[in-house]
This record gives sequence, C-alpha cells and structure tokens, in this order.
Amino acid sequence: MHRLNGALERIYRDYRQQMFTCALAITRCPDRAEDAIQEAFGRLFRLGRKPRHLKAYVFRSVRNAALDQVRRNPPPVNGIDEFIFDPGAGPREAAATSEFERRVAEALLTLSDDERETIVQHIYGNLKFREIARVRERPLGTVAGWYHRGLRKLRTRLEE
Amino acid sequence: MKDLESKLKALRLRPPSRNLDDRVLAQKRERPVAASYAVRRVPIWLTAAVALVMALAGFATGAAWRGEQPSSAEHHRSAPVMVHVIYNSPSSGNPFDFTHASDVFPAGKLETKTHIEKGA
Repeated sequence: MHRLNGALERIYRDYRQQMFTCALAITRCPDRAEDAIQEAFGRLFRLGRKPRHLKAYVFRSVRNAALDQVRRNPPPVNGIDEFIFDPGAGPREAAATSEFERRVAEALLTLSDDERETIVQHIYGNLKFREIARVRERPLGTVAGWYHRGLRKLRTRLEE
Repeated sequence: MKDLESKLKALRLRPPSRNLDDRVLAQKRERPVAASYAVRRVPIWLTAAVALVMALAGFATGAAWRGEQPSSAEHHRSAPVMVHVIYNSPSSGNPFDFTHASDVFPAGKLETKTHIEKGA
C-alpha cells in the first residue's frame, strides 16, 4: 500500500504539468483542472492494489475527474483566455510568440473534442499513442487517426 | 507535420498553482489508518497449516491423557418388562383394567408359557 502511494507520488511529481495541461484542455478553467487532479488523487491514494498500467490509469483518473467537472459546470464557449498556454506576457516574451499561441489556441478550440484532446495528450502530455489508447480506452488506430486528422486541420487553419 | 509539432512543443504552457502539491499530497497523508486493518497480513495457507498442526497436537494430547485403557460407554439399559394378564390375573380381577401392569419382571429374558384350555 505504501509502495503504491509512493509510486503515485512519483507519477504526480513527474507528470504534474502534463496532467494539469490535459485536464485544462477539458475543463478550460485552471481552478477546475486543479480540482480534478486533487479529486483523482484523492481516489488513487485509497486504491487497494496497483493497477496494471499505473501511468495510464492515473491519467485516465484525472481525465474522468475533469469530465465530471465539465458535466457539473460546462466550460465557456470561447475559453481562449484560460486555455493551456501561459498568458504571462512578460517583457522577455516576444509579441510574435504570444500571437502564435493565441492562433494555436483558437485553432485547437475549433477541432473536435477527440482531436483536440489527443493532440494535447500527445504533444503536451508526453503520452505515446499506446498510452493514450489506454487512457481513452479506444483502439490504437482510432487514436492515431484523431491525432493526424486533427493536426492536418490545425495546420490548415494556421495557414489561413 | 514534424515542423508544426516542434512549433507546438515550443509553446509555453500555463503552470498549475503552487499550492496544488500541498492539496494533492496532503491526501496521501490523510489516508485512513483503519483501512490497513482490513488487509490480511497472514497468508491463508499459513493459517490453514497452523490450524492443522494444532488439531493434530490436540488429538495427540488427548490420546496420551487416556493412555492405553479402552474406554466404553453404556448406551442402552434394558427396561423392565410389563405384562398385562387379561384373564385369571392374580393381582387384578378386571380384565379391562389397562392402567397398570398385572406383573412386572426385571430386565432380562422373559420366558412365557401359554396354556390354552380346551373349551374356554
């Protein structure tokens, strides 16, 4: 039991940012994304035995908690201000980067939920397609299809 | 595609708040202690083996206590025989009185002789 909690803590510390980004892509609200992570780990720390694929299990728990948050409070229609990118435009940050972030965020929000979530999980969550398939409980081919289709749409929209 | 992926990866992500660690990891410490009592710490095979050894030791101690003497128990004691003589009973003149026996014989074999008078 202590070993499992130790492994969960390691996963939390190693993938804290990635889990937060994935949850934020669903909730589009930082506070609710954090609530989802807290809620998920509250359940995970009470697990009786270690699941087979612990990392995927943790990400799935966080995702499910984020989806519960969205069911309770639907996200804003255009939640670009609280999307996954850092809005802290300090003096060092170039205006061009900030503009590109805004365009990427807008383009991501036009994709389907599956495509957007898969792109976020793969690029920002550092999850392999096999891991995303476990998290989402979908076949590998479906996940890869979502990703490549979404990325093509994203490129088209960014070039417009 | 690779070019777009690398551009996307270069973007800065919004970090979680500083107190998220405290909120999440505090739950690990708050885990109820009572839950650990429900966990079986002794394997079931060891429990069964100890029960078997204890049972054998109990039988052995009992055998040693009794020694080599055979033990017996009387299960049945023969009841006295109650006889009701209908005709010509020495104790009762009423052949229809079945409330008590005409004669009571001790336990054991009872031999009877029947004498039939002709013309009775």
